[in-house]
Amino acid sequence: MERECLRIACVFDEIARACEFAQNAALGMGSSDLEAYHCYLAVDEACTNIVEHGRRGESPVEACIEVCFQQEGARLTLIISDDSSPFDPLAQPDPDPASGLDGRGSGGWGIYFIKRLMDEVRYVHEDGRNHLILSKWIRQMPDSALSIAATRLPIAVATSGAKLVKIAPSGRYDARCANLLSDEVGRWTDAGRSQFIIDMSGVSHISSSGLKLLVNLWQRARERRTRIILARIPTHIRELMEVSGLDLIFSTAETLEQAEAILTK
Amino acid sequence: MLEFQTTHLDDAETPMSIVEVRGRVDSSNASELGEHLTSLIEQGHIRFVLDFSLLVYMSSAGLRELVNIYRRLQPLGGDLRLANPTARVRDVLELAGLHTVLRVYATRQDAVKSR
Repeated sequence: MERECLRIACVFDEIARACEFAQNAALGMGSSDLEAYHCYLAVDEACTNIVEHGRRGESPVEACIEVCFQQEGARLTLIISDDSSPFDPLAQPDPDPASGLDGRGSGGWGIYFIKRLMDEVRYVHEDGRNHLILSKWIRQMPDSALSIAATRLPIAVATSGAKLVKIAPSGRYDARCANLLSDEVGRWTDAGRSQFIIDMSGVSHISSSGLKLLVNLWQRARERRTRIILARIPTHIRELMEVSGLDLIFSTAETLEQAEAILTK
Repeated sequence: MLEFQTTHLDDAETPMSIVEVRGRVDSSNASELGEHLTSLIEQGHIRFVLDFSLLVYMSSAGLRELVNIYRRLQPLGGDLRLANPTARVRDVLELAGLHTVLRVYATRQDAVKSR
């Protein structure tokens, strides 16, 4: 596993170096500019919190913040560590973007941004240092593909080859989830992808509007000449699909391998 | 790097100050944005259009300054409008839900004309 690190002093003026280090790590993995920017902003927010809160009142210490990156397949992990007193930023409640200005405090936005920009965020205190561990799947998401504000989907996305996108929704498949899924498929279609495997195994429940919107998804795919395979459908959802005749219009597969085999035929 | 270019529309029906904010706003320089606007408020200007068309980056540190300025203007009967944010800046505004609190316009002209 490749791992590289950079140390910076605990001052605002040094943060940009750490951000560029993270941005270059992402670009080095073949990320899009958008994903590299997400890494830049996440590291900016993490380091800003450390400089603002971590060493308040103390003189800046040379090289107190360390940023490391490591790569495992398409997963980029950025580890930001510092030697200030133990503080778990993830234990704080999230600020609410829907609140008006009256109800909103000024704190917590940086860590909230980080949670929204990255796919996984963890904190550990180890060897006398705070470690914030940020992971992001590099999916080569084009700039046109999405705004950060829309990235928090209840779905996971992975690409494979030049055509295929695998999407795994999770939880309750209701109108909101169906619309997010449909948007996601639309964006990837715009970006030139034409094959989709929807992994349904994480879907716990499907609402009647969710069922109806599956029909829309199929219609849109037909109009845009893309192929969609529904894979690993839980039994109770398959039964509902059969009752409404949806099993007849969709191609389905028992496993992800089977789904890929159908697409490559 | 962060630069401001300020134009006062004093002869307009509703006097307004247009501040073009160029470059990047992060924690190393966000206070400059706050200080620049504060000095204008102290000179008696209370209605602002911030033209963000050449602002390429803003972190939450910049958003915090915007919120502080907005709060400061409210009791004065002032106004803070944003014009033409770049996609990335619009994104962070949306992420923080500020696009519904601060008025955001597609162009500087729209921001000035709007009542």
